Amino acid sequence: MASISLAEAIRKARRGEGDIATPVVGFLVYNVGPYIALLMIWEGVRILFRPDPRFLPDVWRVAAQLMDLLKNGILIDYLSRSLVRISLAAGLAIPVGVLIGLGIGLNATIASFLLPIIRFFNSIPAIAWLPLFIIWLGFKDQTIILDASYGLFFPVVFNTIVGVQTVPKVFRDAVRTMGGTWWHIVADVVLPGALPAVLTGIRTGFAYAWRGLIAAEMIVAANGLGYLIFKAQSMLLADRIIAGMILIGVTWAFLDYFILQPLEEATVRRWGLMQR
Amino acid sequence: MGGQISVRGVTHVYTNRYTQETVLALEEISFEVEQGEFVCIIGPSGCGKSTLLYLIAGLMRPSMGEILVDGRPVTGPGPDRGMVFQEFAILPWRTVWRNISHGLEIQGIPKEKRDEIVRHYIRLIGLEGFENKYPYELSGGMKQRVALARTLACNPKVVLMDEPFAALDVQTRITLRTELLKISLQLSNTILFVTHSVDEAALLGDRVIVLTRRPGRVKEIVGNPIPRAARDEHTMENPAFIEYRNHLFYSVRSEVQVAEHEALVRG
Repeated sequence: MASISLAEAIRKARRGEGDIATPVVGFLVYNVGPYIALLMIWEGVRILFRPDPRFLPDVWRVAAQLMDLLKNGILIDYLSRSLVRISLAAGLAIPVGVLIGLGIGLNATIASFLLPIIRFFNSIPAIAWLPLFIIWLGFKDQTIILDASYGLFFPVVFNTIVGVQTVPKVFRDAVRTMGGTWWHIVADVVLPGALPAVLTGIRTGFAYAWRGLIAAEMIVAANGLGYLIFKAQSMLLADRIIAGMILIGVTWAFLDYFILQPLEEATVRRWGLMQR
Repeated sequence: MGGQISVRGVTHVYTNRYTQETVLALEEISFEVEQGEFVCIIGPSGCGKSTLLYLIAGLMRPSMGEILVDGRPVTGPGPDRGMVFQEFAILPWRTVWRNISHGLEIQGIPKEKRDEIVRHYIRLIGLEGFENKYPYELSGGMKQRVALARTLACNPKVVLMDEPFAALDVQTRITLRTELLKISLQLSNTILFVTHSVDEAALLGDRVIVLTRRPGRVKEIVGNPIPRAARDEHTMENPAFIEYRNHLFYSVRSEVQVAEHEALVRG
């Protein structure tokens, strides 16, 4: 084994493991690598089993389809509509979910009243609500937003409850011995203490929100990613369906990377509440 | 009449939530602590010494008896009685600086004044250079320094310390106890310090209250033969101090032995 100088060892330690030369290479290996592996499996299946290209198109066809969608403006239009809907759903479900989770986590009376109701409704999938939402609100954006927020709401509530209940009691005692009121305990102890769990709830919930959104768009909308996929089926455009699926997955990866991960970096990782 | 802290006939009973067993934790506890005094409380495990501190802090209410601080009965927690906990109770989401200023923020002290106070205690407690660190970046000893600074920054009349050094390694513990002793000479706050370490109690306390095995009663209250200003790490070698320390040791030890014997007989 070749020996290295102390300065070199320190440089390596600072960089982390020291096995990946540059941040760019690291980014490519960890963030692009898995997708390339997926593409290779896809092409492998095509070469091995030779399915009808109308059922399983090749990567290039799907890429061409994506380019078409981009050129004729459908991609930007549908994607932005879906993004606006999911954002509004998040804006509705997250604050309400956190508030109800706080109430249940902090107060036994609220808990005994609300928990059974919440558990009951949690067992009903958002899609099962869709017909009723359509009757109530019509074939409108509101229906889609409500259906998407329904799935997001419950994981936020349940994780907030766990978050509130796992904040060490000694933190509250400490604030009380400094003259802190109930409000100080909630704002300075309970909310930041519950944040790691709330973020987990938002992550889990977003997956459900996406499902609700895509399903609702298939039935209710005349645009959006769900509609794109659904409409493509009637025209037997498997390449467009797969292109839509890729768009959904990539959009979620971007949302996670550019919104949730920075939020996590700035809070729970900064505070040492979550270790890599 | 009485001192600044007046504990009068305090008895505390609680029900264990899991076993539903009723436990008599403290029985007929009475003592007085004068303004500015440093008093230690020792006793065998489970004798209720921490419970006693929580009662004085107002975090729990005694089943019987009353506790007065400056002549006023304790009805709940308040900023006049600060507390340092055995678990590191500083908030992970606040930096060292913001943890120390927390109590001052709660009391609505303006930022300029707050910063001045925080700076003072950072220097006094030896936390320079750590102001912007988060608790997870600190060792246990540093965390307890922050907790102490946070409590002192509020300038409470009474500082309650619940085995603050129990979770630290022996060397850190000795460092911190010696520093606390030195710092306490510059403070006018009354300090009530619970520990299970006889050495710690003997060195720190102007007086030591020895509690019996459960239910905790006041067994004896012993005054330190060496004045606080004259005590330091080397006091351990002073013959008068050794005698005092040994007295405390056997006072607690005999309670532990009886408790262990009783546990054996009970099976």
